[in-house]
Amino acid sequence: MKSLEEALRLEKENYEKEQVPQQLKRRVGVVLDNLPTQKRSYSSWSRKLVTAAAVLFILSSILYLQVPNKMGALFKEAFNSIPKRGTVKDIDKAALPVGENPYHPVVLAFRNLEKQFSKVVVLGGSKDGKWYNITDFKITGKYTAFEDFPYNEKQDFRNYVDLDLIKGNEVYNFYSSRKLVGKSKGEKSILSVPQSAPEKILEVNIDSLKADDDFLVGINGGWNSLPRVPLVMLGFNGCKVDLEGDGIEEAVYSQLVKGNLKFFLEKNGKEILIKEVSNELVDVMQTPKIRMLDINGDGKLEIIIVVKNTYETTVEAYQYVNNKAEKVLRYYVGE
Amino acid sequence: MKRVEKSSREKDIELARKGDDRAFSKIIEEELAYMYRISKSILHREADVEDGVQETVIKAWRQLPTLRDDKYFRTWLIRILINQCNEILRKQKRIVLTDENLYPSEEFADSSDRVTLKDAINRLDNELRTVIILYYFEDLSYSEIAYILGIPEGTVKSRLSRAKNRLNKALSDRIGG
Repeated sequence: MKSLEEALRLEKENYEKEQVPQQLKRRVGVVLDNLPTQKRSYSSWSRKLVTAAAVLFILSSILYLQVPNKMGALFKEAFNSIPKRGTVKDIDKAALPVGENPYHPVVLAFRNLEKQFSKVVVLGGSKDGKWYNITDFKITGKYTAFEDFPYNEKQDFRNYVDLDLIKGNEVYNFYSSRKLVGKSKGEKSILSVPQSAPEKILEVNIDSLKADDDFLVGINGGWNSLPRVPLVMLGFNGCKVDLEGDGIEEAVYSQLVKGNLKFFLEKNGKEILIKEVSNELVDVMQTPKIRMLDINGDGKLEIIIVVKNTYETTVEAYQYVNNKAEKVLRYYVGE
Repeated sequence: MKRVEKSSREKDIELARKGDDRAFSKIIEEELAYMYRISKSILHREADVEDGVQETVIKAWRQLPTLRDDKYFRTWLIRILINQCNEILRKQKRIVLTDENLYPSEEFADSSDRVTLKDAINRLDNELRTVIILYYFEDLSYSEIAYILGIPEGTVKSRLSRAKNRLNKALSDRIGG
């Protein structure tokens, strides 16, 4: 009879033979490809340096405020020579100054055939916690009929309109489902009216942006729209994240139920229906997209659902409040 | 040769700690089998194992700047992994381990000692099973296990002793029966 120690040694050999399944390798690969920004910790020396700089800054400020003489002028000159925050990158130099536009427009970018993002459509926006759809604004300027658009996107075609939501020169932070992909500056908007649809569509040309994803959400706002990064739920279309920041994760996913496409939100095992698409549209539907981003800067993540088929595209943003998913923004284009 | 490998790994850990995601990916790929085995021994179900490893990778990346000494990276990683696995177990108390989903039927056809030992290990309480896995299968020291589990070394020894007693009893019962 073998001793326990010997049996454990033999068992170890079997234990070490366990192979990592391909599914896990793929899943970890996705995580590694989309690592969120790492929070840095600082060494004691770095902390001392930052503290010294802060003390110097406070002393300088006191001197600057209290000595209105030549010394003050010197300090003023020195302060003015310090580059202001956000002026480091070229893109920010030409940007609309922060606070110039009190609205925070949200735009949608679908990748073009050249695998770039050069034009976006406007979903809506927010200001001081209130949501605004395009229909909430007075738009002045000439609209452009859909059929008038040149086939070549690069052709200079700028029939701009004026509205409070977009002034032009806004810098948008573009996000994929899991990370900030890049920044791009937008022009003023162009109002297009599709041939047979009553909806107005605002389009904005942006500085060309390259990304691997086929759909991005752009937000003009100084906050991080992915304070908590959603995890993709493998096996079915959906993702999970703590939407409200209360420590409990919500899962949002789509499911075909009797031919209809339904979007659900699940929290603590309780399921609520967010949206349902009727079965006549499901047949030709492309895989719906779900994004979870903080698009109004309140620290909570909103749910963005994209439903697209051959004939129409609907994008809706929902906020999750009091165990209800409330629709706050909508974009629709169809024939 | 051994020294070069060690320094290369330490260099990767240092780079990863400074935010180099490529270096971090390289380390995780090296540790994946290790993480999988430990996670599997605690959680059993593949879906839970995947969740545990995935969450551990994300947490490790986020918490890496707080790692004080690079040479403890592996034990630090296992600590995160085991905490994560225990968290999943707490959330999913519905897990019922049955012989059927633990072992394929063809393994039962072979009535060798190892199957019985594996069975006995899997039937141990989670805290006893974990010390057996870490000590006998992952060759970790008492002090490393103590750090990973956040318990005194004496407790590691007593758990190990209790686990071995139970395994011995399980094996002798089988032979006796």
